[in-house]
Amino acid sequence: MIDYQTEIRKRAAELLKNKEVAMVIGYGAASLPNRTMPIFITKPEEADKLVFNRFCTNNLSVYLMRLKELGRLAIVSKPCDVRTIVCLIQEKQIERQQVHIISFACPGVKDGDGKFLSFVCANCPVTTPPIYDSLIGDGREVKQAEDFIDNVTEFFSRLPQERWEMFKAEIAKCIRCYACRNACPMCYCKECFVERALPRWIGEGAELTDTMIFHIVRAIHVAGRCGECGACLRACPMGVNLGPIAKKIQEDMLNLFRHQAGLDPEAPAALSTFELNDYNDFIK
Amino acid sequence: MKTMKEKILAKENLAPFLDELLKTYRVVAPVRAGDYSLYRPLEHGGDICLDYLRPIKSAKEIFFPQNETLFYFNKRTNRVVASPEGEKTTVLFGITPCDLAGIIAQDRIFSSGTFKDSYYLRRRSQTILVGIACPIPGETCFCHVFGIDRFASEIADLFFIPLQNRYLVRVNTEQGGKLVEHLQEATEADLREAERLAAQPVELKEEIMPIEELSHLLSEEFESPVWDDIARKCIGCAACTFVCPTCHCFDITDEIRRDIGRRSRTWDGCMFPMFTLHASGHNPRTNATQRIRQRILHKFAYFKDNQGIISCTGCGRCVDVCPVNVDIREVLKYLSETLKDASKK
Amino acid sequence: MKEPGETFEPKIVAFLCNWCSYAGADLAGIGRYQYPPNVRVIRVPCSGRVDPLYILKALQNGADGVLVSGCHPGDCHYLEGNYFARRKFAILKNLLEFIGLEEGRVQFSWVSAAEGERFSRVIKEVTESIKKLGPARRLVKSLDIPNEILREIGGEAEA
Repeated sequence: MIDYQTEIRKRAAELLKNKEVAMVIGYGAASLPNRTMPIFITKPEEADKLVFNRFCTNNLSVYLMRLKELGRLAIVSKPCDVRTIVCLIQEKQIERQQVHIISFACPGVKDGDGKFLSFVCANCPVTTPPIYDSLIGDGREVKQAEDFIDNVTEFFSRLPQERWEMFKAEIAKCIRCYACRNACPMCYCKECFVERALPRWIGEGAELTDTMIFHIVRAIHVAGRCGECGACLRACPMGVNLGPIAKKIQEDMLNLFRHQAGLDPEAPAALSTFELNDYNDFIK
Repeated sequence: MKTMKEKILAKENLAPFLDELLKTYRVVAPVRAGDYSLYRPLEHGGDICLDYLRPIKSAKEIFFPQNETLFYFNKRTNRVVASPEGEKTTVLFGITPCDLAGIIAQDRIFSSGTFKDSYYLRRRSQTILVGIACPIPGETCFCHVFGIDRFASEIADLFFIPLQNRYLVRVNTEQGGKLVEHLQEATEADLREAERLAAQPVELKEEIMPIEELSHLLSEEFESPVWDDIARKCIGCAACTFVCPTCHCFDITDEIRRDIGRRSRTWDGCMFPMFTLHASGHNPRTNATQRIRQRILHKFAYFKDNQGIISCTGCGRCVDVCPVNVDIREVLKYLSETLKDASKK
Repeated sequence: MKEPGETFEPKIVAFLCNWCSYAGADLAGIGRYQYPPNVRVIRVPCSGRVDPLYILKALQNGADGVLVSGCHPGDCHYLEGNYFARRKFAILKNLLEFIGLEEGRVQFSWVSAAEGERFSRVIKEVTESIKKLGPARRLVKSLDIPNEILREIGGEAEA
């Protein structure tokens, strides 16, 4: 087991002591087994509260938008989390120098009771950080093959009628708590489309077609901006499997537009740009 | 507690017992749904699933559904017609003690005082409550803090206590008694086994400060910086709110197609940033600190002041589902330590 | 309600960009090119204006099909609007078919202001193909008004 924890604590304490950052956002011990939780430290002596283990599942970038007014922020980020920070920089929501990224080659995180590697991690295309300020460890690939539960691939191989029934069954579990949306760093709109009343796009409550539209549109709103961190899947209290639609969009972005989100802070977001010879066959 | 009588039902006869009820009543009970259970209408007695400690959502949705149509209307003719009532009486079976306590809180809101909610009442009055005891509390449970009895209930019509291979059924009301008329009477031995079960010591999590004392202190510490510390990681979803047995906020919206429309009531949550947005554009609670403070003060101070009980049953669902591990037990402990120190100064 | 013997006539919502496709539709009218009357036109300034939410709302409100038509790539009145639209629509169409919505419920075309005859042909094709799919059921939202209540408040069944 790679010991990133000691190095992370040291780095955080240094950054705070030298006043290079106003706050370090990292993971701390949770009150439940097999979990960690976001913590926010401002003094070097608090650095010992930081932990790193296989349960660092939250994407902490979600806090950057609301805390950036405090000054420069250091943030402990898995490579997928770093991708979302890159997207935020691309979209000019934060500036590169506002954030000090503490990252590392990622072993992947575990889901639920800790028995399996997260599916999101099993297929992770970016296991080393695209950008960083402090690299913990030597940056070499550390991810190993581990057992995981695949509840996404099967969806792709089914017939349309079956896919519809499966999609409906998943969405029927949703209670519209918006944990998925709020856990996502890319959902930073001050007013989400679900909150608009004039016009009212979808009703409140949990009517099925409204809920389907919520998930379809949210998937499209993060298309080309999704860092594949899995925070939305894990935030969901009801276990709604959003994996297939997220995966489909990522595949299309890659296959149709040769695009992967969050790798280059200078690049434009995929749906904010175009090529003259983009895929056109589907248009009469 | 004094009950009318006690009956016995063998565990293997539970499904047939429910099948019999299904001939006359709609029966709602915990049903397996993937990795957890939910309170759902049964089609067969055998659908019931008591394998999980408690269903992932509370029982409040039986009386206070997430979507409830209030009435239909026609803007052109000005006709308004209330949504029709259901016909069958419902037996809500297998309600955990924390959820029964939640129903007590919902009753305070919707069916007591000057204004009673007819939508809530017509479901509530048509429902027979059958509780079930909770011998072993879960990892996140803390109902003992609120004095909830895991082996009895003041509002259940019937209360099932799981013994070795049978249930002891305590009959609390006549309407409950009708459902179990044909069951065998419990023996002295059965009663003693139930008493022994209830008296078994269980390992309870660390003590939280006496809740009554905390309730009093909370109201005085509105301006304390402690709320910032607690709120910092909250992402403002409604996961805690929607699974909670006592949360009851709602919104009312109209959906209209040309002239025809319906008015619905839907669950809302004070954790949403737009919850307190006024028509003028002003929003008194724009940040997480204000919203978390409101949530805790409402549940643990204001509700106590206004309704006489604390709006929390210690069921632990919010602890289970919070994406960022806001643990109300830790929050209460942290508050009681901080506020005790502050009040001493 | 359908009478016995009637064939299904789909309701199709068409978002047409003002400068090209809407003008093309106009030209079809001027040239007296016949096309099926199933299409309800909504004029937008540019195909790039069409938000996926419009398409989904149309389906949710009972449209059997949706067509979005804009200027040919390179000819957009606003220079680039249709290029952005093209990427958005590719993603939306693929996602909707992926979750199981019937292929062909949502269609796209580029029709220029000069293509009156072509517009009528596109509408014929689109209408025929959606007719074959039958009435849309999958994303349709109903207000679920019981018939007795509908009679009492004096309404018609949702069209």
